[in-house]
Amino acid sequence: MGFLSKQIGEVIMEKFKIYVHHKYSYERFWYFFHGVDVDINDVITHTNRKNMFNKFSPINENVNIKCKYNGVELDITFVGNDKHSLKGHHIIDYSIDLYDRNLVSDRGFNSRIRKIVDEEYIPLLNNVSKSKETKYHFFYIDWEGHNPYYEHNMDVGLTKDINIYVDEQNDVNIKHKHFVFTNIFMSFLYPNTLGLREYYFFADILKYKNDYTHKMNFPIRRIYGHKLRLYRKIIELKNSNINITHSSFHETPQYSGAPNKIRNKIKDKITEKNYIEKRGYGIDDWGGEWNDNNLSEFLWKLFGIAEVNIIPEYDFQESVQHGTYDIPMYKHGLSNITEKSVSHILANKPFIPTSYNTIVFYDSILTTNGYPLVDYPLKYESLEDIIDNINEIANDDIRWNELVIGLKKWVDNTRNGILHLIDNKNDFLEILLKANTTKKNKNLL
Amino acid sequence: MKIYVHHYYSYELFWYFFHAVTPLEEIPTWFESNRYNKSNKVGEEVTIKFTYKNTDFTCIFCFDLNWNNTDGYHIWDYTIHHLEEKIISDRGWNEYIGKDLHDTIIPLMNKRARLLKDKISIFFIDWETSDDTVTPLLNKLLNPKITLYKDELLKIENNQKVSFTHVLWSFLYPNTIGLREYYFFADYLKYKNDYKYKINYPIRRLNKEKFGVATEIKKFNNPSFNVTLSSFTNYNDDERTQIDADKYFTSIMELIGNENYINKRGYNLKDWGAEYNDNNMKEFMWKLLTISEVNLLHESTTGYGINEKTFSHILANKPFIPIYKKTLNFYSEILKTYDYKTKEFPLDSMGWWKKINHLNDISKDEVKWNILMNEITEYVSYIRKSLFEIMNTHNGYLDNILFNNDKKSVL
Repeated sequence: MGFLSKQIGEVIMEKFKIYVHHKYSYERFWYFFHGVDVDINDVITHTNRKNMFNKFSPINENVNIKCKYNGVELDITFVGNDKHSLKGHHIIDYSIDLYDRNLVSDRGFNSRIRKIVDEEYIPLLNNVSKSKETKYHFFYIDWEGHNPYYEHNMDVGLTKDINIYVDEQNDVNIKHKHFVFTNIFMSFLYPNTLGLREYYFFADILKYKNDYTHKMNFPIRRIYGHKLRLYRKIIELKNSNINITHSSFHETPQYSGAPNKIRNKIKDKITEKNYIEKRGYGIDDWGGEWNDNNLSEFLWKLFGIAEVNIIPEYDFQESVQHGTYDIPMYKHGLSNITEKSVSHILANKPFIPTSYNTIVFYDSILTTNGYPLVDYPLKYESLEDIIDNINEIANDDIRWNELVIGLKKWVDNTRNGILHLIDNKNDFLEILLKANTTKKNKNLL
Repeated sequence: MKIYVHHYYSYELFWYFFHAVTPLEEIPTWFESNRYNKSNKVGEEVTIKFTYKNTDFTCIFCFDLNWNNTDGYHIWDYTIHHLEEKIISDRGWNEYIGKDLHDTIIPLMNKRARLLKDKISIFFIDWETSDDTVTPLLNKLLNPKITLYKDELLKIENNQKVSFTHVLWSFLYPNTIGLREYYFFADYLKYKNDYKYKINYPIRRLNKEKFGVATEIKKFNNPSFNVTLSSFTNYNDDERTQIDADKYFTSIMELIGNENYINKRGYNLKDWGAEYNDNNMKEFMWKLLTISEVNLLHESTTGYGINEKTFSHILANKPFIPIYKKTLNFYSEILKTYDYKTKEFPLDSMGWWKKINHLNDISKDEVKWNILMNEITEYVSYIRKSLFEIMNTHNGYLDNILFNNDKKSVL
């Protein structure tokens, strides 16, 4: 607290005046400011009769909420695209801004709007951050494994005084770039554009299911790299206890090309019953390939197939070694978290990731924040290396049951730890409280 | 036959209007306008060919275009129009319903009917029954040549109809309140076997009648017979609920205790947010389908219509008991219309007071309770299965075009 001791009285209050440059919603409040002490009645849901009954009607008014974090008072105002030069901390979130502008319908990957970062956000940030006694905080959380710092030339193009918050862990030596786990995890939940919040409640009912058709399932949607290699290994197993499903994502040109030979071979091998067709008749039509449709379909159809899911969570090493695009190491995002593992943790569903780095990542989050660990019952680097062993275990009911119990204990412990963490800690605010709004009156580029 | 649908295309709207048909081509989901953003309207005409009961149809989703084309039928849905204009965010009750009928909608549609005559149909499905203003207004002012599709078996005049299949599908597509999820929830709910109570009477909007029922239930002092109150009741600033809420809130809280107060607002993940219908329905699904073996439902449609209360339970295959007699008559009418056998719901002949007393007695006798639960479960499953068969094989609007010359009959 040394930095605070130099600033007393009104200066401290000024320091923690926070402007959020987005329209207000209660979901956005929780995304940015989870972990605070707040009177729930102050986290308003509407401002007038129009938006009281119509969630399409945005809240255009400024909304002020006062709360405390670790005993420090925060005076937060959602101000939209306004008041950029007022003294205090200022937040701009790339993805939230795209919602405000109706350019996207969810946070997941969207290649068409990435250029906006280069052409609009970075120039805007460089300009508005020149104001005296302001500190800008820029969120770039895209759930993708690439390093935006270099992809968008922020190393040479973004004022060093601006903090950037990302979902990659690279570059710990770059002082204004931060990995903020709690905000990243919350980004999957609020705004609830993908329906991932439902997975949290789904856990309460999923636990009763007791008649799974398979012990394990490997659900494949997009076919590439390590998924294809693991698929081939599983197919080669004799007496396999591992089922494979393939979702119809790639059958539609909405995101990708027409069916190819590999896909047709996979479909032949796994047989029709394991082909998860998104388009059905009437109520069974899951519609277009929007991320929320996909996640909703996954919840209702792919959590009920097997006791344990094998999930191809993103792994930067896999991307470096087997990625189809040739980029230098430092441009790869050191990222370990996407909706794949988050959805399973929220639903308390046992899973085996294709890379053990996923387990290392979540264990490190718990350890860093002082939560106890439960041993993950398998040890490996790449799942491909031990898939024969897992298949053998699944052939022995006693060993299989032990493994499932171990997987359940791990996911349960991880879930409990993270859910407690996001209610009690805010990684962004931990950094903001240490940041200084006073600075030299010059561009630090 | 050609049908002009005066709305922006979506695959959900296709199913809503043209369920039960056999499409002759893939039903598209995306166009350049909404490819990466599903909230964008599809701003182009979309034509889909299909067959229905041996007749070829072409539907053209054309928003506000083609109103002068006399070579086909024209359909327009009051709620869908307001959703498209983002005036409302879901189909259930809202304070805008009916307010633009007199000055805007009715004159506009009457003008169009001058050219199109009886080729124009309007859907007015609001999940509310027996209103004093909207129905009389439509009955009095709408050009009688226009076929008006309502969702209640009341005051059916002129060219008015009730397309049962559209009423049912209106709860699912567009999926504005998340009722489609109830259907899939059924696959998991069936495993739950540790309910805290045998019966729960869930109250959201608190009024005199519900307070009366709750008071009688709590007099039983039966630990298997529970009452919950959702926090909607003290939703500030809403005069619809505030008067009764003020009057009865303290008393009912004394009866049920804090543990049975279902507070929508919680910390972080437990915050269900505002009182939008989709938030309420999600909260109900996750929190109130899992409290008791059977829910006692206070649906006030008296059999002339249905709302989300009973239909959500049917979708989730969740046993329920309507508090009033005849609530399920609407479903029986659907079954009869499509030549399905009707089933009598257990306890349906009892008024609410007799019913809750009977439930109180029977919940203390495991054998009798299990017999009743089996009967209710069988009923709900039968209704669910039958309704989906009907919804997937019949289309009230298309049946009317194809077969029905008697405009006064009810489909």
